[in-house]
Order: sequence, then structure tokens, then C-alpha cells
Amino acid sequence: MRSFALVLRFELAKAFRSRLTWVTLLLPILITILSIWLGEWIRTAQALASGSSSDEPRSAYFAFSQGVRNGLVLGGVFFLFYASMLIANEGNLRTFKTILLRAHPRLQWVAAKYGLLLILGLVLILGVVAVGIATAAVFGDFVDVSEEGYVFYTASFMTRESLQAVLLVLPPMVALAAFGLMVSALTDSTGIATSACIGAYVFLEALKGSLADARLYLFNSFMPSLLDTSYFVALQGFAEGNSDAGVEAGWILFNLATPAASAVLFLAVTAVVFGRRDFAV
Amino acid sequence: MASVVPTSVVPDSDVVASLEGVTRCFGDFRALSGVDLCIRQGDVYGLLGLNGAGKTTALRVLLRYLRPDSGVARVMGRDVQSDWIRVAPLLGATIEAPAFYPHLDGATNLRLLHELAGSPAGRSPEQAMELVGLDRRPGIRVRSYSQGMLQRLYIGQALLGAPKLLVLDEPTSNLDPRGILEVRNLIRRLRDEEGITVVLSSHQLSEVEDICNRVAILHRGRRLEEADVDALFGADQRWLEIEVAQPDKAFERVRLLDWCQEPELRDGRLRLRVLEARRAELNALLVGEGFEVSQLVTRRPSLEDYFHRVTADA
Repeated sequence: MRSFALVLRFELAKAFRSRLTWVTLLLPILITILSIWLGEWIRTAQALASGSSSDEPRSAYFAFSQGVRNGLVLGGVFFLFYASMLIANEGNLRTFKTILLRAHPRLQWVAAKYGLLLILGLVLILGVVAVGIATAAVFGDFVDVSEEGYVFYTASFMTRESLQAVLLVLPPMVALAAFGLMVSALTDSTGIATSACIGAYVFLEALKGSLADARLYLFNSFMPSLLDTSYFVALQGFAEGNSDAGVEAGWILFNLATPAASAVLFLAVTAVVFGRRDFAV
Repeated sequence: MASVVPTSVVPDSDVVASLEGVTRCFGDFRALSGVDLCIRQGDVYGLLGLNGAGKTTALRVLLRYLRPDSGVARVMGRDVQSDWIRVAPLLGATIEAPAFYPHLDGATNLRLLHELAGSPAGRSPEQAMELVGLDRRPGIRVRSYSQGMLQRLYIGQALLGAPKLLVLDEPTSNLDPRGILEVRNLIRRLRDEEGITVVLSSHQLSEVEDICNRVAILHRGRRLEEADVDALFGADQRWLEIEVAQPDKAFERVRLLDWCQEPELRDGRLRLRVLEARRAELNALLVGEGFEVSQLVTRRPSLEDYFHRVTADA
């Protein structure tokens, strides 16, 4: 256990001192703020142009869900790049020859690098959500979604749905980290690793698009839910007062199970590849 | 001929590291073919060979970067493949070009590596930096290091903690003359004062001859020789070089002496092998017969001579 703690601390210390880590964390946070600010600015401009006004407090849930969704999509892409470089970059720099001389089993390196990704992923999600809440609160209040006194959704319902949306980001992040790490373990070239991840992302996005509504069934049943933000789309629907918003309970189960299973598969491949491969010196 | 010490006759307790029948192929190319090496306690062991001879591959197998197709690499009697966790703390190594995290400074790189190893007792990162002469500018990022500074830092990381065996691949490459001298002195000091065993590979045959007490020559993936340097250049390997007036006549004269072996004329000098006890007798004989002997020197072959002869024969 101490051995693993040493490796994880080593990884964290390196990551903390890396500019790439801070870019990966801070840029999505910045995009969240900008996204909310721009969205609200456009909505205010549209309202002014149409001459409509309302004395009712504006619900911040829409701004929050829109900003967090955009922040998490960009954060997911950055996070995927970061994960894809984690092992490949060590191979590229040839630093494995130095660190693998220390008395730690190779599997601990896989576990520590994955642990680092989970910690970063968690910080990224919490950062985006926290900034999303704070920025959305500047433009409105987290109150009932209502119109002319009619309450579509209560604040407590919206809070519960928001929490569920945030929690449902976690399983895809777990799979995303494992996928990036697996690609990273297959090559010593950061270029190849990131290209492969971009390719995979584009492919999955294209597949999602071509499957239209059916994607939620098929995608969840056999693909890693790399950057699925369906729940934030649903949350936006609630925040707009749409009565047909939301997702079916079955999808939630799929999106819990599929990423977890994918992550296990990806990690197993990573462990086998990393454990057995020869390293360039 | 050099005396070869097979692994089997060296007591196990004296053997710090060994390769036993190691074969390793890359596709169709056989980089190592049944190689045996035996490194003893206190050795400064030189691994010699032409490019592609298998030196680095042998070191990579010893350091567990490569799995051998067959055979075993051991350190302190432990199989490096199956018992790495106990082997690693005994080792310090540099192999091929230096590799560090370029966005960190040298001291931080060493500190992280030291902490990664559990901050073992022995040499601290600061002491290692001082030992390799990098203590005056610890805050420079590695990406700004010169090749020489990188090489020094690389040796520094190998010295962290308390290694019993140092494996140094081309340790003086990229160093200036002063750096080369410092590293050679450092290796001697580590052996003499701390009892550290050193394995080094080098193309600098004079360097190997200068600091190694034992060498192995690899050629096309096979070990041609493994011997003590003293044994390579023992009494039977030395010759007498005589500078004498009328060398042709002197040559004809010594040819008649059955106790003077392999006489030859080279560059106007007479060369021959003769027992040390009879050298004075030979000098007296030549002088007595009117030859004017101006110089009489005992020579030995250089490691370079030996290396070229052995590899050419192979």
C-alpha cells in the first residue's frame, strides 16, 4: 500500500507542476463562465428586442445546465487528450527507463496513473459545477421554474435533477479516463495517442448522430459513453419548463453500467499491455 | 591467451550480477546469443563491443527493461524478472541518453525520484547534485541543460540512496575533458570508499583500460572474452622493445637465441618476448658483442590492440 502511495504521490507531484494539467482544468472552467455569460447576454438582448419583460425572478437552472454542459464537453475532450498522453509522453521522453528502475510493480503505475486521472476528472467536474453555480447565480436565482405564477418545476425538483445530472457525469468520466490510458499504453508517441483519441471521439460522435434517437439504446449498450451529456440536455428542458423533458429510468441504468464495464475492459487491456511491453531506452 | 574466469568457478557470494545463457532476439535479428557475464563484488566491469554487439541489450536485460527469450539475469542472486522489487533498491543505472522531466529543474527531478524510491537512507538528492557538480545552479529547468549537465544529472540520479551496483552506459559521453576526469575519479572513489560494484559500457577503450579491473567483449551478440585486465596483460603478454644501432644485425643475432621468442623488426626497433629474468642477460650479450643499445623497454599491448585482435579473429 505504501508503495502505491509513493507512486501516486509521484504522479500527483508531477501533474501539479505541469502546465498541461492546469490548462486541462482551467480552460473548461473558463468556458463554463463564458458560456453562461454569453448565453445570458444573448437572452437579455433578445428579451429587450422583443420588448418583453417580467418581474419574476429568473431561474438560474437553465444558465447553469447550459454552462456546465459546455464546460464538461470541452473538459471531456481536454481530459481525453490528457489521459491519452499520460503514458505515451513518458515513453516519448524516455522517462520510463528512470522511473521503472524504482521498486514498484508495473501494475502500480497503471493504477497510479488511473488514480491521477480520476482525481483530476473529479476536480474538473467539481470545478466546472462550482463555477457553473456561482456564475449562474450572478444572473438569476435558483428558484422554481415558473411563468406568470404557474410553477412548472419546483426548485427542490430542479436541484435533485441537477444533482443527478452531475452524478451521471461520473461514470462516463471513469470510462473516458480508462479509454485514454489504454490508447496511451499502446504507443510511445503522444502524436499517435492524441490522434487516436480524437479519431475515436469523432467516430463515436458520428455514430451518435447517425443513430439519432436510437443512439441512447445502442450507444449505451455497446459503446463507452465517452462524453454523454444527455442529462444536461434534459435538465435544460426542465429549466425551460418543457413538460416532455427528462430521460427514461432505463437509460440511467445503461449509463451507469456501460461505462463501468467499459472502464474495466479498457483497464484490463492497459494492464496487460503495460505489464508486458518492452520500453525504449 | 587471456585467462577466462567462468561463472561456475566464482563463489556465489562474490557474484553481484550475472547473465546466464541470455538470448534475446528482435524479430530475425539475434541481439544476444547465449551470453554469460559474471560481475563480482568490487569490480569495475567494462563491457566492450562494436556498435550492435549487444552491449546495451545486455544491460537492458540486466535492468529488466527487456525480457530475455531464454536465460536469466540476476542481481545478488535474485532473478531480476521475478524479484525486481527486492533487486531495484540495490541498483543505480544510466542507460543510453539522459531522460528527465524537462519542465522541472534538476533538483526537483532528483527529489521526486528519491521520494518515489521511498526516500531511502544514503545519498540525498542534494548530495547527489553536489557529487556530480550541479549543486551551484539547482534551479535551472532541465530543458535548458546542456548535454554535459544532463549527463551529470543522469549519473546523479543513479547515485541516489545507497546502490550496491551501478550500471553506467557510456557514462562519459557528452562530457568535457574535465567532466570525464571527474566521472572516472568518481567511479574509482565509489568503488574504493563505498565498495560499490560498477558495470560500464564504453567505446572509449583507453577509459575502460584506465578504470576497469575486468572486461567482457561482446561481438555480434556473443561473448568473446571475459577476463581480468591484469590477466589480459600478464607477463606472457608483454614484450621487450630494444632501440639499438644496426638493428638488422642485432635481429639476426637474437634469432639465434632459443630463449628469445617471436623476434621481429618493427619501425627500426627490435621486438621480442623474453623471460623477465633473462632481460639483463640479453642486454649484456648485445652490449658485449658491440651493439650500442640506447633503450630497452618492456611494452604491453593496449586494450585497444587486444580488442581489435579479438574482434578481428571473430
